[in-house]
Amino acid sequence: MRNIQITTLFLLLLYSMGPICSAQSLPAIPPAPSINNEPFEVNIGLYLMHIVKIDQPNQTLSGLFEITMLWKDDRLSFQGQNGTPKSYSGADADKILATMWYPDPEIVNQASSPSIQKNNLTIFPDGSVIYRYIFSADILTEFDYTRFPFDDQELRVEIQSFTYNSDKLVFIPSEQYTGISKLFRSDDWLAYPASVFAGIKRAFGFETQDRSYILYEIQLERRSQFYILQIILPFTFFILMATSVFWIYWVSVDRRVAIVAAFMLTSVAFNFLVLKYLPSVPYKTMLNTIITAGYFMAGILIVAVITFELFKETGRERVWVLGNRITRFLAPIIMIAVWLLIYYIFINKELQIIYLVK
Amino acid sequence: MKAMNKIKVYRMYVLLLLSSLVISLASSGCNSNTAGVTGEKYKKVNGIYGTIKVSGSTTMSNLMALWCNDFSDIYHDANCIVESFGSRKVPTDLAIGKIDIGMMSEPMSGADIVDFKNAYGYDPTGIKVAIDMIAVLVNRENPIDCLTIADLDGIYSDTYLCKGATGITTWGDLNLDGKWKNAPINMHGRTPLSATYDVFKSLVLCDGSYKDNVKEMASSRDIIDFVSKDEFSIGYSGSGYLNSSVKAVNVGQSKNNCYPPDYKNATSKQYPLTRDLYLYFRESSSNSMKKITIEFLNYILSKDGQKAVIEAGLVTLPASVISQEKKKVSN
Repeated sequence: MRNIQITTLFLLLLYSMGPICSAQSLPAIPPAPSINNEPFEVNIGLYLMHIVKIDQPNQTLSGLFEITMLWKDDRLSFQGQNGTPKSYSGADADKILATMWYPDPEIVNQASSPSIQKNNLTIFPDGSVIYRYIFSADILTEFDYTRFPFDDQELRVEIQSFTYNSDKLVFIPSEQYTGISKLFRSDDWLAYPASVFAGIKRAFGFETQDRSYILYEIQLERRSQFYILQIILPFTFFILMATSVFWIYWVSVDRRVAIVAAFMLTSVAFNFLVLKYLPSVPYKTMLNTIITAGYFMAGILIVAVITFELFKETGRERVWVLGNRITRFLAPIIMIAVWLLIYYIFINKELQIIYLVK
Repeated sequence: MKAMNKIKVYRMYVLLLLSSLVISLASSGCNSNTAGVTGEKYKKVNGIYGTIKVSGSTTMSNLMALWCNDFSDIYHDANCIVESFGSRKVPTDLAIGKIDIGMMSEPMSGADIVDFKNAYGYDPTGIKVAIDMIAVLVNRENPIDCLTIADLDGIYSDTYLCKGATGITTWGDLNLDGKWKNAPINMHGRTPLSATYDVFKSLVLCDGSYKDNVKEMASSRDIIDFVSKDEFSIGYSGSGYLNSSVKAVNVGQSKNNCYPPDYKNATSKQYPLTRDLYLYFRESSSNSMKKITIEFLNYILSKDGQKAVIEAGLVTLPASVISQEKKKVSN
């Protein structure tokens, strides 16, 4: 009985030592470097390499990015031969990083954890460090599609240190390592140089902790040629063709109404066909509004055809002929004018009416 | 037949009325943002590209972001790198050539001007770009309407150089009754890194020192957040950050001359806590300045740039000041 008790005690002792042993096996990470009690400066840059996909309903952008960080930690200095730096990649770089001080940046507006594709750590004899890694990530966006397909968007990537407050660490933008990669290719978007904003703000969820942040704003401009050629031009053609009924006013009214309806239905079917290319957002975009206005105007054409026919029935043939002759020119002009007005309202930022449309 | 014609005429009138209503609504929408904005519309020029490097005041960071975004919209190949760690770094950053433009929420001090002159051989050029008001904020539940500079000195200072009364620690000391009588005044202010800290110290504390128990906040937004949640608290921030979650108290030199922080009182400087916001650049004349910097400054002083001032919640410059500042840029 006594032996069992001793064995149990021994086992309990071993069990309780487990966490201590495993804690001791963790490498000790040195504290943040500091010079004259000033926050430690880390230069940081971000490159946009590729846009993989934009998920419009979930407002996320999947892309490939590169972050480069530069800092100088005297504790890492070593006697190098001819100033040759030490360079590590992949798992080797991870091992070294686990034992040294690291700024621990985090993308604040990430939708999921970034996946590091490639990394490289270089330590120079004087303690200067360059750490760069290429990663894929889903970034939360606040894209506004109101002006689709003539829209510009702003891709924002905000980085903060996950661990260090602003009294310990500040991020300084690195112009050299910021921008759009020369390898950047996108069928849908043109990307322009990024503006960078750095400062200090309260850490999200912490009432007393301030963190250094760095915000990259990359301007994206949609290539709208595809939408003009494949959607807008065919649609306007269908609707404008419906006005041809005013050129054949002597044909029976039911046939003329059928012609307008046929073009209208063709454009509806076409609209369904191209739906997959349109952003599914709960508000009206410019293209939606152009299409809706097209349907509305086609409806008015049917009303006009019937109204002119009524003039003929009541013996006012002169009005019937004149109405048709004028409308054959007036209808397409009004239609184009309405579409241009819609374009102008949406494209002009100053017109507050845009928010009513929204 | 006559009746039919009358109906047609009425219909015409209704249509005209409706269309004029729509047009007036649309145009009033256009103009709502431009009230108080003076200057000419910015005209785009060719060949503008590159990076504008800016550092300085945290108060101006929102405004600078708006300017940069608008400027990048006009010139797709132009971008900004902006560091907002406070006005203090501007003289050094300009002197070492790290930046093109420095944002300052107070004029550069004499010592900094001397340092700059030693580095470049001429004085730095600064232009006024907007007016900021420091608003004194209390919780929306707080019944206080007016605070004098002496009251604020008594609340925030322990040196009382601006004739502040000693021992103002509760709202009762400012003649509030009921639950406020014994309630402590919870003070919030900015960190010494911020120019707002210095300006408040200069205008309200007469360069005295703050009490030790003033809670220092990194940003104006944090102050507003705290004051909106704590009914006994008081704080100050740039008026650009004001929102409906807090109440801005009227401020004056005496109880009889208390003014709200609004456009009229800012431009007339009747509201005592107003300050001009500046941009400093290192070049002595536009001949030596980068083309992109000149155009950026021209844009800022244009009607479009001043619209952003309103958007940032600040006060635009009067037309006379804008034309003066333009001369400095084109010099």
